[in-house]
Amino acid sequence: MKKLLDFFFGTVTFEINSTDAEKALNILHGNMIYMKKMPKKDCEKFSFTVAKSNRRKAECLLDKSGIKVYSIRRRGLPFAVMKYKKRYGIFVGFAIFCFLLYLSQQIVWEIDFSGNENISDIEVERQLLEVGFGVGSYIPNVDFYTLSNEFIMSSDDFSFISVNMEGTKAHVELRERKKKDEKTEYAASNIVAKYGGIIESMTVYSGQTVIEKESVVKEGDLLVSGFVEKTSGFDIVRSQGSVYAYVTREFEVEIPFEKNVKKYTGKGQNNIDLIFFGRKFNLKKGIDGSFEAYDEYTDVERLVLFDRIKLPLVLSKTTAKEYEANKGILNENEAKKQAEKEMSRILADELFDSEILERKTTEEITEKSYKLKCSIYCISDIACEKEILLSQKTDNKN
Amino acid sequence: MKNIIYRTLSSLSEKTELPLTDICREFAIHTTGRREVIIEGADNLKKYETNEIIIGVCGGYISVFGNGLEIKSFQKYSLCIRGDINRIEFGEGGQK
Repeated sequence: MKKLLDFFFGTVTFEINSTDAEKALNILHGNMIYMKKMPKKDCEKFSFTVAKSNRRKAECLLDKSGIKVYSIRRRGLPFAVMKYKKRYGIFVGFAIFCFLLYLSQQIVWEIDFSGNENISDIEVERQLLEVGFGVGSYIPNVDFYTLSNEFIMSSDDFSFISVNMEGTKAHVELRERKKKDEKTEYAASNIVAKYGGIIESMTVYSGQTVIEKESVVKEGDLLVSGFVEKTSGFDIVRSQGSVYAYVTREFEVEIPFEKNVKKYTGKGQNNIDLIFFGRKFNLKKGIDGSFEAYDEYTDVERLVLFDRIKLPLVLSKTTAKEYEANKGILNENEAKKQAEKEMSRILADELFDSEILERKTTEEITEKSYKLKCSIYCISDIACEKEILLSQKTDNKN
Repeated sequence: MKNIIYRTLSSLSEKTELPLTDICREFAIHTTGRREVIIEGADNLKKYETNEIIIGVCGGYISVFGNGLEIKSFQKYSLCIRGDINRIEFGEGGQK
């Protein structure tokens, strides 16, 4: 610690004749100049060190007492600074360095997300950028309370957000919004048949069943009634349950041989923006809207120094690629593959909860298109809830 | 004269059991093993050699004998000596 203080405040070492050592020390001590580092060597010279602030006084006293000073060595930061007094660039550079260091602590360098299970970090970061917060944002300008409110109001995916700053790293805690079942809840309803078929089994939670197992029903037939008979009168309830039946379902996919194909011309234009301090600075504006038809892509990349240090700078590159809409002709194989792919997708959507018993596929090729027909014999839930509309009856008293 | 005053004040301090350290500036010695000695109440330096250092104190002097003796610091009322210390002697009166 003493060495550190000596370095910061500066020290001066005097070298005098050994024979004058005691006299010099007593004179200085008597004038309240305190000394350190006084090695007595068995030689002609004797040195001692005083603080920089006492240098002139010490020199004056030694001079007055006739003690010859052989050399003076100056050590410490004050002397080093004086040496470069006229080198303004060093001081300006140092000041700029200190300023940049201070400034770098006022911006967000990194964001860490937690609580988002179904939404990716990139998507959350994009949503945060829309409300004005991201890597490179100026922290003193961010009102975190307003930011949280604006984010919740603008986002459909999250019901809670908390942004906490730890130095220059932002910790974002999120809670995803639980989406309500889209099924409408009716006050009173019947269950009717979605498709025609033979009843295989029923699971009814509420309502009165009007059909039996192995009954043949057609589309629209009543399966479970919302009117439940009681000993005195009846109740009107919401019918709930599942009714499984053997049904035959038909699906058809048609793929025309002629279709619009995008053919990229190879021409492209770019816009490059630098996002820093929460603002976009346009570096290059290449997209001028001269293309008749084009696709636009945006790539966002965080700048990294030496492959390790992530800078709070984001480079956004928007590319516009020109294309020509041409008529493309598909051959039979290609159309067939597309049709099969589309059919698989439809079957997966429609029959995800059905047990497929038999499948028949037919294809039909015309001049203009390829048709793929699929007939599926399966056990499927045919229950479809239909609302019972209740109206108030008013008594007209004359 | 100074010695007489010092002795008078010292005996008064003994009898009254009052500390008169500030008035008569009585010296104090703190040693750390045989390698360091701090003398409080040092007035001046009488002799400075690598094997002998004589310090003037109130009422006399203190001689420190040893090898490789070195004064580390000489502050307002304290003086720090380091080295291989063999013995410390007290003496009355003025210069030795």
